[in-house]
Amino acid sequence: MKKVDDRLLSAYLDNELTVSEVEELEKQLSSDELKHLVNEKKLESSIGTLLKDAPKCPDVLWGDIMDQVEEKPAKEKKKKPIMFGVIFAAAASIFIYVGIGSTNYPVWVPQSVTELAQKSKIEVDRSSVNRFIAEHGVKLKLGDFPKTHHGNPVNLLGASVESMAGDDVVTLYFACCGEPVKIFLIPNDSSADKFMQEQQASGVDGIVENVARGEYRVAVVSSHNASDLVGSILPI
Amino acid sequence: MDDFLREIESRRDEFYRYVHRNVWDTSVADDVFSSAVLAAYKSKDNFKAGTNFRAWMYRILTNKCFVANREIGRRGENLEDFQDHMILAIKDPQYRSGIKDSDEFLAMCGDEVLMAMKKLSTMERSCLLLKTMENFSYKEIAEILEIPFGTVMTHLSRGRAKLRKELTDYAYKCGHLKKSKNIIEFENKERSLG
Repeated sequence: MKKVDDRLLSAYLDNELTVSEVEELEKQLSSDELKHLVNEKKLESSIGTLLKDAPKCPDVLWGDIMDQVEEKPAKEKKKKPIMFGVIFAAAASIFIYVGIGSTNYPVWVPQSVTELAQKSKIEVDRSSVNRFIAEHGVKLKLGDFPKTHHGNPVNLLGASVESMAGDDVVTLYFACCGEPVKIFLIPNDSSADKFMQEQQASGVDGIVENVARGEYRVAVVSSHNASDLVGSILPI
Repeated sequence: MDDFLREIESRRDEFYRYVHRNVWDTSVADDVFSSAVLAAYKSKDNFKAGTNFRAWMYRILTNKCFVANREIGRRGENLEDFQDHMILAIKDPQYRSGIKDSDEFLAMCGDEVLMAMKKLSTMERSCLLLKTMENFSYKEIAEILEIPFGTVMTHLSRGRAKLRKELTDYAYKCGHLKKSKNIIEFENKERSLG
């Protein structure tokens, strides 16, 4: 006789057992235990009801998705300028890489949100990110996202430590309007700070914000105008 | 809007709910849902008319949840390394009396149910959500997750057992349930085995 285990019990609760399997299970349980299975079924159904009480798809999100679906054919027609842009960006990143020599920071921001998300070393939630920031001795924290001027959702993708001009810099990853965004938390007067200011002064594209926050500078880097995001980084 | 998108739109709350319960963070859920709908739209020609559209869509949603939860090596889990917690629990009279009224038990647990769900692996959680929340059969779940029927059974029972364990541990802590001698002995044995 097959021994009753959790798999059989679970399948019994889901009415997925054959008649003979039900008989086997019923033979091996006492009457009290069998009666109790009714309560387990009720518990399962109550858990299902509780889980169903989840947020609905926001209208704004659905609208954004529909916009992206409709935009697709238009984007495909513009293939040539995009290719030109990619070549230009590649040339620019080679220029940056050659220019900074000793750093290993050749590319500003990956081209896709997915690629950026994969770089994260931690869980994607605000408390994990704040714990990560604190663990690296940075006296800043991630607060609420400001309402961006374009009103589109901002998504947190994670955080990591990136090397910039020989310094380790805590870097937060976001998506704004579906575009990747990095926020660097750079200690004042560090090599990375000098590097970032030099890049900004020389007009390198992508540094949309670089402002002071206590003992740090917060630099927002993206091909998208996500300067509002700087408001989410607060001093402790 | 074409028929394909209309079909998704008619179930958008259901699909979004599944993603939200699987990745938990609203901003991540938004991203996963958007990317799944766009991926589905892009590959709509791969959908065979007359087959189960809902199951096809759940397969895309689940794959995106796995990527978001970074559990791409999902088939490498050791399914054998698992104790039968549930059968042990129902043989315990203390446990049986504590769960007599499921609504009262869940009300006592409050947000712990959602916290416990969060602790499951994406595979266990997906199986549980597809069964308990969306009412798919084991056969359909196996097709959606592209795993054998028996593996669905294992993940479901293991997910359920973990969920029960988290909730009963909480109930013990709150004094709603009292630990029986059997449970204490079992826990000591587990502890000594490391």
